[in-house]
Amino acid sequence: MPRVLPRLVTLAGLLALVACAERTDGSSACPSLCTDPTLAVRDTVFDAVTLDTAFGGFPLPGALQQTVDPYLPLVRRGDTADVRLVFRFDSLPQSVSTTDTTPVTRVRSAALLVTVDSTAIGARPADGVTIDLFDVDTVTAADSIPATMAPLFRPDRRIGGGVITAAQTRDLVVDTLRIDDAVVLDRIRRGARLRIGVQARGSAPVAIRLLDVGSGAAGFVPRLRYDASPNDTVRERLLFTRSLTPTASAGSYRSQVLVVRGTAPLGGGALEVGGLPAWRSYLAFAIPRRFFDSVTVVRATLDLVQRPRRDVAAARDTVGVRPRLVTAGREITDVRQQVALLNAVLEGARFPVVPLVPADSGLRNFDVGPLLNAWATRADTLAPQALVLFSEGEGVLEAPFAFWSREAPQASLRPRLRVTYAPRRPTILP
Amino acid sequence: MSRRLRLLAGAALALPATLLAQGSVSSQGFGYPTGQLTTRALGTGGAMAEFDPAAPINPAATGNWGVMGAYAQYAPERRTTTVGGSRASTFLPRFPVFSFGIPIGERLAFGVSASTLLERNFVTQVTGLQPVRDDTVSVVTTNEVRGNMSDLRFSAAYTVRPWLKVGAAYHVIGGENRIRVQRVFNRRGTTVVDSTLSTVNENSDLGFDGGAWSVGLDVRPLPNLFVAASVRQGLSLESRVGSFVPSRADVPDRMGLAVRYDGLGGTRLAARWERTSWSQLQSLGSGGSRAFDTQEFGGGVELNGPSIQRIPTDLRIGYRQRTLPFGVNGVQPEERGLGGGVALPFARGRFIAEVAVERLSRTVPGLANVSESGWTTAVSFRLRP
Repeated sequence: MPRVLPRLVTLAGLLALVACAERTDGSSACPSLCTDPTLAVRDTVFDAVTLDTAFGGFPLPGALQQTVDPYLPLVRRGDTADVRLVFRFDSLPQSVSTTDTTPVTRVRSAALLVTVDSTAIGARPADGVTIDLFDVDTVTAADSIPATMAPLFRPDRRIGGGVITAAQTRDLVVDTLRIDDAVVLDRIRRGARLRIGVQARGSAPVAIRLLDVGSGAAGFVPRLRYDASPNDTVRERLLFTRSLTPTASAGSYRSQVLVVRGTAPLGGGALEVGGLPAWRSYLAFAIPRRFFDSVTVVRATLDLVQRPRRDVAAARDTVGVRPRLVTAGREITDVRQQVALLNAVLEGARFPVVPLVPADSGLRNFDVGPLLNAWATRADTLAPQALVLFSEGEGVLEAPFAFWSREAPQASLRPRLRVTYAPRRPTILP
Repeated sequence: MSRRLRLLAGAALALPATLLAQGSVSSQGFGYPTGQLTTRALGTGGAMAEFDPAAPINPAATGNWGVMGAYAQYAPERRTTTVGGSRASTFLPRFPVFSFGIPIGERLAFGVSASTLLERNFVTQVTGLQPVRDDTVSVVTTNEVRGNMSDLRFSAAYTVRPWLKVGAAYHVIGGENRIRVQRVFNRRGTTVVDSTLSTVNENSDLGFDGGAWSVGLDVRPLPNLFVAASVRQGLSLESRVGSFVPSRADVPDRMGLAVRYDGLGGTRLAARWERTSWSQLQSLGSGGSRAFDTQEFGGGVELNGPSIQRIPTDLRIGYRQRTLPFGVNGVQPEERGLGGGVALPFARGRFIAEVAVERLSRTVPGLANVSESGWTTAVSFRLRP
């Protein structure tokens, strides 16, 4: 054994000498020993738009809106923009609590709790935003139409309110907007519904967003809070919005956006984006699979010619517009529904925003390279090759944009897809 | 539009596909020829390669196993490439030779070996400029290539007379090059990725499929003089990407001749010459890298050292020089190697551990500012139960 040991030590030493991690980076010898050719990049323009159209009426009613973007806009800007909200509490429990079936005889500390989305763009006066709450319940059947609902926001129907300070609007803060206790008690006793209209005002233009991410996330939805128990140990009641009408789609109207005053679309078949209520434009493409199979897209731009909107509010405001990927499946054939069902999570990468001014005109390039790469890797049967032009100020800013569609009188004005690509090499030989 | 797309697709397929980003003198083209040398051969300047039964070179040497045996080798290279004042140091692990031999009776022996014919492993990253539309952007190109071309040999040897062995072998030439090229576009003059431009990734798994025949002899014309010679005749060789065959060539022919003299007590002197027709691979590539025929000369001494359990160790030293098959800017590189080694017998010679170290230097005639040096340290185990 003693004679074997030195040999084993020698062998182990030799193995240690040669046992190193692989290191193959020879970059320092480049470019002399690395004659790599420049990538062969080519450029082409496609007239590949097969369908383009525009849809207005965004944001959608509450429940639908939650599936798209979880916010509710509240805007008051002079005589150009007025966006209000209605929260429906159509079913108020008449017992003190879930465990105490004693009828409610008093209500204390009634309030509407809302969460301000501080990440949203908008306008916030330095001295805060005053929120007025109104009783907007009505017996008319047309209880979701702005023309019917707006007159109900009047002083004799005011049931409460509060001030959201400037500091609060810069954070994700739950704000408590007090409601007259007697109003809530009255509705409970009568078994009536409570529909609360929300209107903002301030010393300067106001544009904020309230979070409404769905009934499953208690902290981020509008809710009614009150204390109905004489016993201080019983917790206050918290009610989520609930609508019982219209019967067919009651859930969609739990919270409701009322655009009382906004911007009118340009019309005439233009591709419209933004405004109040907001528009979105839909463009569908037909790029053959064999193109994707033979190239790697380096850059792609959707080239649109902007039409000026000089006669509208916010004509000189700068607002971002960006393309968004249509993720609705092939089974959704209703184009408007495809436009409505944008989903930031499914879309993945966020496309570059192009800042635009409504009064300007000319050629605009929207980078859509990742969009083409998404189409290249996605089976054609999953979703259409389509995108939606979307305003970053949707629901909050009234700046409207318009572009020439494929119906434009001159070919040079029509939408085009410009693709810069590298031909795919079937193999790489030394 | 569809006609335009068809034209685009056609243009894409017709483009020349070249990749010449190796970052070293020795691994241009399809890679570095390891020489298929065993540790014994490496320690003697390649001179013992034609005689060594573990080396997949001369099929007649299969008859030299004597008893059933197996051989495995690990031979990494530390390489430094110098271009002007800048140096790139790399470490390349290699397992160049595995072999197995089994005698059947007194005269017949069979062998199987797997060895590296061409080794191609490197990563380079180069920053350059790329025109895109009306602009020029910065592009960082990363090339990563892994793989090799290998030689799986089935050999048989027959002892015709005690002084004459002949052999023949069939070689299956295979292997794969996994090539990854990534181009990331940055805003010009910065390292910030340009989000409007998509990264271009190209992956290609290039396989090889070919064959060759070889024959050889090992003759003892005088009591202490041995002469060995072998010839390999290359058959067709294809590159493959799936079922697509982008190129065809022939496996390089090879011929070698070696002499050994054992008449100085425990000392063995040997010398070897080899010529390989690597230019036959020219059509396998894109034409971007020129392939040359190569010649190799080597000589070495093997002498008995101190004994272990009354079995002498072997001490080796040798020198060789050769040309390399793939050119740098169209010029054929040259390589010189000075090496030495030792063989340590264990278990009464049933298990032999061998070590060899070879100092390599490579130059490219006409490119004075380009040089390369390397240390190959080979460790192998020869088992003869």
